[in-house]
Amino acid sequence: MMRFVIRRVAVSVLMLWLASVVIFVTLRVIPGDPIAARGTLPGFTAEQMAQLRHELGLDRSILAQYLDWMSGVLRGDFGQSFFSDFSTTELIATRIVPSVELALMATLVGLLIAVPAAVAIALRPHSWLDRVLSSGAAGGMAVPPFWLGILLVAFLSIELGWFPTRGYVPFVEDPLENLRFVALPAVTMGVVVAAPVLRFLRAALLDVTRSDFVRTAEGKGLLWHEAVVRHALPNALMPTLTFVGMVVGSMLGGIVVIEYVFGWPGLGALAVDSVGKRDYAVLQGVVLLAAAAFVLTSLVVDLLSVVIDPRLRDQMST
Amino acid sequence: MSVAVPPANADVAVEPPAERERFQSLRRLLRQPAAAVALTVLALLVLLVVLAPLVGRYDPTEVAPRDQLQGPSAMHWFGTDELGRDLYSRIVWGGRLALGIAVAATAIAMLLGTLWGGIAAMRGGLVDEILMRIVDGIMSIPIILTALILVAAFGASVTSLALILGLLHVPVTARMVRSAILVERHTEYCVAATAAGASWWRLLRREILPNTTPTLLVQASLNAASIILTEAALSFVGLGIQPPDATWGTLLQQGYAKIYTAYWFVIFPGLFIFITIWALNVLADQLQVVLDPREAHR
Amino acid sequence: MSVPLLSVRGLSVAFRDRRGETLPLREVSFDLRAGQRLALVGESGSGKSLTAFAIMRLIRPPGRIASGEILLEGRDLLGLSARQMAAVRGGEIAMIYQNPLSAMNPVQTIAHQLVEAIRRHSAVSKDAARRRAIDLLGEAGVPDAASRIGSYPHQFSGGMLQRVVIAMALAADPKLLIADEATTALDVTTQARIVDLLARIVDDRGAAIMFITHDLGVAAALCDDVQVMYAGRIVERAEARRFYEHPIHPYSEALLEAVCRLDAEPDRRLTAIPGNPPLAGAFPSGCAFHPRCPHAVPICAEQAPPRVPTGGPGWFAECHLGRERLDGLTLADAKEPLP
Repeated sequence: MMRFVIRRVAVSVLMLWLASVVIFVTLRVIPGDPIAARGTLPGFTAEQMAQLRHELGLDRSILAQYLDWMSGVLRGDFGQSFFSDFSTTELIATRIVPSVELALMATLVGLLIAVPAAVAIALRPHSWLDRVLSSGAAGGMAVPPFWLGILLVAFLSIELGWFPTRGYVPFVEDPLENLRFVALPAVTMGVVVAAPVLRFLRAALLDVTRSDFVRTAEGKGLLWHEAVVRHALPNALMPTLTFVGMVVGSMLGGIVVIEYVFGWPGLGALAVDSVGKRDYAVLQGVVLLAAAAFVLTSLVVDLLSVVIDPRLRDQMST
Repeated sequence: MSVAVPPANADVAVEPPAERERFQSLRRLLRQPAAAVALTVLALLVLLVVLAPLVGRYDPTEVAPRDQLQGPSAMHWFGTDELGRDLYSRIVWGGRLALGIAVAATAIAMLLGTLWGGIAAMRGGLVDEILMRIVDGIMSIPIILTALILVAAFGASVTSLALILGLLHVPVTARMVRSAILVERHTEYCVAATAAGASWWRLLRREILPNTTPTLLVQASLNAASIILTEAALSFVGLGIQPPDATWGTLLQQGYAKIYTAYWFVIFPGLFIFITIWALNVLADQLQVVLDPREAHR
Repeated sequence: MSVPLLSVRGLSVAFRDRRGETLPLREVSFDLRAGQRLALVGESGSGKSLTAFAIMRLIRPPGRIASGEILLEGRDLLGLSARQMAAVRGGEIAMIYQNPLSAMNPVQTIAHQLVEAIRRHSAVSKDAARRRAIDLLGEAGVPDAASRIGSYPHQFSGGMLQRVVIAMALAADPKLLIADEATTALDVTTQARIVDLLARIVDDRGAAIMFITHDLGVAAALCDDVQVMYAGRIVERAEARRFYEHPIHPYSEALLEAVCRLDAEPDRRLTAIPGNPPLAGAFPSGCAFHPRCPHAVPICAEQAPPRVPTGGPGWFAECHLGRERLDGLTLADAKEPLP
């Protein structure tokens, strides 16, 4: 068990390290000199630019710059922004809470849609309800999240006035307002999570409900819905957990655009901002965090599967 | 245990699955109603954008200040934008860009991804390990973020968008192709061909790839859907195709700015993205059903 | 005579597929007295398991019970609501399954699954249910039950897990046990132990058992009556010893001949039944066995055979030649009267 955990963590670290190399190298070899971009501002001499370049360490070798950055990151220091007077660490720190909140809420909403819907289908497979929900899932997988977000804003915010159109209030300041602001972006991303999870869980459930032990459960006197919920569902959720991890991992990218739509002050909006300014110091931090979130999600999911599945648990200990 | 004696001419001894079989699955695909609908939708979309000069109705860049932000009507089917340009025409011409980029990028992704995954699967060992770990590393970064950075660096021309989006879908393609090839590689005819001394490159090209065509088509469909969505997202945040040119994503961004006054401006461009991705997803799904008969009974 | 424990009347099961509806179970009728031990034998696909699951009303779509009555102590199970039927399942009729590993939920402990079965049919506390579960496991011959009850199914051997399944079936002290090929998936020595266990349990508790098997030897060891199924019908029923010594139906005869008997003369050939058992939807006309029957006459292909009583309570054979074969038997064994 311990060996499995150590090996799995090692794989994650390796993936993250590879990602950091990819990020760093990409940002250094692509054209578009940030200092030159800034130098076009009036009043900058070539000398001043060289000075700035030196201060930011941009005149050193890529390897030296990378080692510098990495040793900083490992100490929790993401370096100096090329533009802002804030450090990258500070910029990220103020943005991370809204992003994490949005991701967690979206996952929660997604599961709250997908799991009950899949159970409802499993109770009466191939019924009209199945057809409606399955078509909905196909639609949810095809809908561009930002378009869905816009439609929700147009209808629920502008037309009906139920929710604010954009913005953010920290949870600690006003929990209720915070929820009002997070509702639409969370539902938007929630649909993005729910659609593929519903499809996967439906297939898994329909498979499991046909297995002998569900019939055994009925055979000992459980009603059909009890057999489905108590016996089929836990078994179907196990493979689904891994899948949810993948979906949530890929949702992280979608959040970038959703933050833009809803004026959500998260890391995604920071990334779009920094791209415009070519602020690589900030960008590489944000992208590294996104990669870390992805790697962490799959790590947590893998470890969780081992914890909840007694068969895997036994396999690991032998 | 007896040792099998390889036949004198192993090339003809074990035949790869018949050519006919490959096309049979495609014929079965067309018999699925959902697949037929999806293919029809895609064909109509392609026809629409290819014939844009004929069916576009108006010049998409023709400004008509008096007609600005008009709702849908017989004259302007999808309404007009803030400069009075006909939205239908702009969507048709925007589709030309969006679908053009998607086709080119998908081709790039499939070509390089197949090569990458093919080499990893056929060579195995350390080569496989290195190639696939790189894939893992790249895939842990959300595509949209990398795309944002690269587009900002290399500019947002149609060519660079196609190239960037194509390259970014190489890893996911490589991973899928590799696993499809690994399955195929252990079939009898491949083992026989290897035993007969066929080189891995020849084996890959002549035997394995033709037999994984349906799987490649599934991945191409999924890639195209993802590319269209990513391109639309880039254009929507203002880093993709730049005005006065416009793809569906650009139009959506312009529409979003007018959301208080012109609902049609956000509905129609998004609808086209939605329908295109839906059709591609359904196509990929149905291909999979045809490939895996067990799925058909679900 | 009192009401039988179980009386199945004209039970048919239909399956719908793309080509239409087939009837893999056709008008099956038989009785089971309280405490009786009945073997249900036949080749695979003959409808044995289907009969069992139909009695439990556990036929899944696209299958359904098309017609008939299933009377448990005179009460028709087919008329019960889902809730009432759930009380019968595991309460009055309990089932033991072919593959114990797939019959148990892989992600729940044995304790959890047994306690669930117990508390379903009696209002006892969790602790009391757990103690009872340990007793049941002990009765079913699971050694060290108190410490093993927290284990998961995959941590047991097949034979041991079948004992767990049996313990679970005993949770509510049912009047009828249905064992569906309960020993088929086990190795031979384990089979014998499980058969012994079942014999002891039904003796101790006075429960009836319907023992489904394709192994005539196992059936002989355990049961009072043997009932043979072929192509969705019961073709013969008789008391076990009489059945083994003097089968009336040619199919029964063929089945018995196909069994390799240790006491057989060395030069006697081990005969397999020629041909394959028919598939539902393609049952032959008349007597479904006629294409494989060595004694078939023209009428066998044309008319469904009559049910010929063969001398005992509930005994019969469904064969056009039943009368003659029964008479021949009586003549041949005139010196030694039939039991």
